[in-house]
Amino acid sequence: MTTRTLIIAITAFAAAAYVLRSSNEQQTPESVAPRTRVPPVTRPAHGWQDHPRVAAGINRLPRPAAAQSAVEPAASEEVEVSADKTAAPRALETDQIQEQMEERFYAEAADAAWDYKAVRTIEQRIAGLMPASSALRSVECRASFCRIETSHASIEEFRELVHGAFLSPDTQLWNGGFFASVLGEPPAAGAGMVAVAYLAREGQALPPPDRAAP
Amino acid sequence: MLNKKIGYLFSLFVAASLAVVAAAGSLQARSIVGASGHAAPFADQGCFSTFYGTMRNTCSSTKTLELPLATDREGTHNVVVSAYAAAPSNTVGCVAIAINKTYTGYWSSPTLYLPSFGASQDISLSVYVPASGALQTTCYLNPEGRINVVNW
Repeated sequence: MTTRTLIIAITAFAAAAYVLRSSNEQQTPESVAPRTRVPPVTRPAHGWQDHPRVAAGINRLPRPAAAQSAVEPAASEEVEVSADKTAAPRALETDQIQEQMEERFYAEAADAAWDYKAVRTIEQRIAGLMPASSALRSVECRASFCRIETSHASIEEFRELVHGAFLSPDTQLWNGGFFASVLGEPPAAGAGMVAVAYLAREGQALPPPDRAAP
Repeated sequence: MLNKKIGYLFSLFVAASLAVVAAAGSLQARSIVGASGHAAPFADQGCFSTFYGTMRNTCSSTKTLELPLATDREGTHNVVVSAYAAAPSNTVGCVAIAINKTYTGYWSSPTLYLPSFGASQDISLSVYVPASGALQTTCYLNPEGRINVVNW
């Protein structure tokens, strides 16, 4: 290879590395093009008792309509409109992921052969894992996963339940993929909260969030 | 003259192709050795023995090893744990776990175990990691079970 070819090859390598590094950085949320912000709407008070779903006595989102989702925003936020329509999908917040799971759960059909048995199994096993000031609010199952709603006096109790019911191989309800989160804002120290967990069937994983969904 | 030009262009094409492949390869999977992990709880650290980066359970009961995995992006991450067990009684099981930065959301794969014994095997896991979240693999090693390498 001649000297000139070698120089051109080295230059091509440096350019390729720079281009690939730049495209990789563009995938991170922090480097997305600046967005146009609209003024925030007043956020309601947010103890767990004030959570829209808890306050309304409705512990689930309404079933989505056929044409469009009936999901309401969990809380008012600054609405950001991307100035760059070709930007990577926005990073999802945990409550957005939780709302996606709600939609998927209630869109699934029931599996009569499995649902009843799974609900009974959860009710029986979780009773011995529930921390002192926590309570099971509801258990429902569909064809591929179950929804478990609990209330806790503190975030520590929520974490204790997650460890015992889902992570510890000695006490877990069963060995399935799961997603668990508190509803609403992260609670202040000592504040109560409602949490929802989704547990896939034995040996199965939950579907990942849809990052392209609005 | 024409042959010389063709040869020159061909060399340039090969060099540029190698450059692109090399640059792309440098941005792909990461790996760590089993010895990068720590016992959970820490009091069990004395149950683990290392050998050229591998981590083996030398106690007579199942012990837990946690391996933190650095991530750069939100999304689904595929974690492959290379482990070894001579027999079913030495098996190894692993689970991939992600948390959000406020420690109020958890994602997890199911726990999967070695498919066979007597030679190193892969345990393939997949889990969603939220933006600014963290990823780890937790492995449960039966006596004499061993973790070689974790790739993600």
